[in-house]
Amino acid sequence: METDEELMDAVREGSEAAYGTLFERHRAALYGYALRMTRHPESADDVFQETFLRVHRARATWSSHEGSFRSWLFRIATNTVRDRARQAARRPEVLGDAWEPFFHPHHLQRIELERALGELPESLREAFVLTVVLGMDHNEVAAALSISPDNARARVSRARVRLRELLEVS
Amino acid sequence: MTDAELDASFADLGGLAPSPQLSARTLEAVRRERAAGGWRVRILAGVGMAAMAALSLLVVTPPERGDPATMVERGSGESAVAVDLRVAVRRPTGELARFAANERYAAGDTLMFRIHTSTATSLTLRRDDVVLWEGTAPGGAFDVPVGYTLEAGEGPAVFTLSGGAELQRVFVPAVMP
Repeated sequence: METDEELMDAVREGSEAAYGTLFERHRAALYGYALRMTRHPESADDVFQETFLRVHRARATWSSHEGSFRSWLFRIATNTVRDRARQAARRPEVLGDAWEPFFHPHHLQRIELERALGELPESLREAFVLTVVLGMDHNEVAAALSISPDNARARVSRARVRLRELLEVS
Repeated sequence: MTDAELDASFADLGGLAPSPQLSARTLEAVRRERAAGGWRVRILAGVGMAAMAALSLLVVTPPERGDPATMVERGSGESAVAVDLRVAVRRPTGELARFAANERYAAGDTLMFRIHTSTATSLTLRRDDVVLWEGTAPGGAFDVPVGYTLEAGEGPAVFTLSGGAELQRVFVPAVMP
């Protein structure tokens, strides 16, 4: 099986099939990240689509020397989430409370965990979701968030402390 | 709870699959951009060749001037406004769900409409031919201030949003008996 980096090299050379394979491989992780960061289904949809469009637009700048494809993808996603948050701050949306995120309530514990994640400050949530929920290592997370690996590790550690508090309260 | 136990609980959450519609829409958007990129290259090549042909001829002609009295403005700002209509369903219990055209809804469910526009524009929302709402969307995301509550025995209907570059249509199946 081709690695992500090999596939992205093929995308840079114009392969649509390679792009489709990368999309299939990462779409669930990316959507999970987008939804947990925006806490808003429509915003998550927009971030998801915009991120994959940006990946396509930036394919010529891709280089495997800069790290893994996954950290590059999530760096683009993180920037897209932050851009969107800046825009939203300038133009608040109407009926915000009515459009609370709706995770499917199949499992009560799952809901509690998602709620607790939503309570984390953004910088801790970014690091925790990428590391623990999506299984990226500290180096990948550091590259995705443009911080040092030690900083990534520290953020995850602080997130754990806060999550314990939140889960005990609930 | 140890770190490992806490991590294991959250690791189970994992990724979340986007809807098939969102996946299809995203891939289609990428294909469109790819196609547009190809066209740009071809157009630029065509323009380049035309410019070279013009230089080789060096034919100088006076500019044609039209009569300003007969000139009309072509197009308007609104004609190019990009509009996107999204629908959510609020259950009588207050629960909110994404609208799906292949799902049947029950009496008491309320359709809620969110519009995204590229700039401020006047819009009209109709259920079949009946106007439900007319107003101005300010640009960006905008929630239509009226919802539509489904009633028992209601047949299928098409909700249409007009005013943007393209008509937006949403098909709503008959309400569950």
